[in-house]
Amino acid sequence: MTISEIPLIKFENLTKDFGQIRAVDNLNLEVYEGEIIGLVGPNGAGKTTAIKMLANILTPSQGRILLKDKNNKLQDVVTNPNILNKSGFLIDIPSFYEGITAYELLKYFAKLQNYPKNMVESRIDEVLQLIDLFEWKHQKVKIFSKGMKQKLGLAQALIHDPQIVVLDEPQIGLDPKARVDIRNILKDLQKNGKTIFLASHMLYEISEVCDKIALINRGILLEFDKISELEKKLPMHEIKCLLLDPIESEYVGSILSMLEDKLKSYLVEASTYTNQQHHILYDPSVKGLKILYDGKEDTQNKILTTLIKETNLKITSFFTPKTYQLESIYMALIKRDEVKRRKDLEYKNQNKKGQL
Amino acid sequence: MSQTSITLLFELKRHKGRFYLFTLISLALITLSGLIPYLVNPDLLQDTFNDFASTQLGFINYIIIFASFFFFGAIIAEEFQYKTYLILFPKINKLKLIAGKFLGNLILFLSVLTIYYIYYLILGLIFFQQISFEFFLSYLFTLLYGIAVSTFILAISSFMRSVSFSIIISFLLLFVGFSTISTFLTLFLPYVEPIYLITYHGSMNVQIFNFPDLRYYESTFFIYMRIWLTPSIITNISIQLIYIGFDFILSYFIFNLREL
Repeated sequence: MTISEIPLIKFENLTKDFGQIRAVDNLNLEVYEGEIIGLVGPNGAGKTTAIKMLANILTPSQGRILLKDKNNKLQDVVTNPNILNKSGFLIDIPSFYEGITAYELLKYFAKLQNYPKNMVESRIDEVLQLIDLFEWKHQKVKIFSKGMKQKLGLAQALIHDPQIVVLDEPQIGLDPKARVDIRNILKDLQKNGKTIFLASHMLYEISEVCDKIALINRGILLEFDKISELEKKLPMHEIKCLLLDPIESEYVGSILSMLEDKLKSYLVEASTYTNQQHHILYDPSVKGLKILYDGKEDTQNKILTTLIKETNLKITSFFTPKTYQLESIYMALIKRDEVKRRKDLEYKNQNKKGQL
Repeated sequence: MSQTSITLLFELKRHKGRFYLFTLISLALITLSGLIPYLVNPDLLQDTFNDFASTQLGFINYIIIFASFFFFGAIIAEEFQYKTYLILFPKINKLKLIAGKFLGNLILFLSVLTIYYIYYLILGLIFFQQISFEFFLSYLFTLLYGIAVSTFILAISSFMRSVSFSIIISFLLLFVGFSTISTFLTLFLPYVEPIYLITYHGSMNVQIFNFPDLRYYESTFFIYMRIWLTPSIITNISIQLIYIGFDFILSYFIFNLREL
């Protein structure tokens, strides 16, 4: 195995039970250097529990988490917690000791993590500028808003310039500008060679920054792959087609009927993934068509060809929206998991009855 | 610098407000009870410095207990209540965190007690132009009792998820629980010295001015009772050291066992 083949983080059969409840169930994941991995799942899926085990705040009931050390050997975070020194964590919505300033807090954390003494001051300034809180450096944390505390949480995770950055819902409670800022910070961190492990239920944010996505539900890993690979496993069902000129309202009905007729064979399965009654919708506010199709790759070409040949619409862009794709994958996988669980439960119940 | 000392310095900075508050309260109380009455009516002044000190210092045990609630009641409970542990771990391990927080608060707390004694020392020099050796012993017993009470409250705090609850339980135990146990023992087991009650050891800082003296007095009114006043010096020191060690170890183990 070459050095690059050794994962930086490895979750190995990781399981966590809280009494009778299994929060994380046999989770296996490998994260490689420089990757941004998104851990996605609904509330209670086990994201925070997995991250708390990575931070060695919770001890796994079974399995282990390994981190690559300087000698490229994998070390268990429980038996060798010093391996976590190269990681920065933001877990949950952060709480701080409120009677102190942002500067005092970051200085404390930098010292705790042995950041070179002569560089602490400049690093605090650098991190505060990065998260746009420099002007608040000497203000007490108790006057910070929720969003500012979230940013300060990110700052404390980055203060010692860690190799691995682990963030649990970093964009929660932030305004749109701050969310974009954080997204850009994550991209910059990746450019600087950092490895980022990110848990979130904000699908758009995840889809914008992550290389790979781990979908988790009720503690079980449903899928772990690149978005493009997930698309192949679960085809997408929405195409957006933006037009140069709006369709005059009197022609909208006839154009849509004609398109529904021409594309009928490609639109059959679309209604199973949406509540919409029509397969093709026109939104005059964006001068665009939304087409719900069967998800096959070659179908996209056929739809585009039909639009060009059969109508005189001037198309400016034709694409499958990323957020919708991820939402669609997410919902389909969760639904598939729920159905499987229900069937398993029914099967078990039937067996029980049979035994009785 | 070790993580413990970094945390200690951080705690000093964080809780300096509490230090100022309790110092001000202490100074105000001494001024009201140990200075103004004697300035207004010098005839009230005791004959010797030891009489003056033993009369005045009785109040310090209340300062010790109340200040301990605020300095030590939150050390572990606040981590659970405010979830501040989420930003602390894995930067620091639990033992170093508790040690640093405890020592930081202990320095501030013992400084309040020291200022209290310094004020009385100054008053002793003003009123009597002398101080006694017993006064220094009293100071050392106060520090020892202060440390014992603070580790006791730290141990209570390690079981709690709320700072307020930690303070209330500590208050009930120290003021109600131990007094009740003491009363029952006085009635039903008069010969058993209540050395295991931490509050019993608090009297040494005042009783030291009267040593050697009776350690208890007896009453035969209706039933035989033995009212214990103070333990022996060696018992006082030994039991409090056991308390300190046991409470600190217990706190660490409970904090370590509890899932965050």
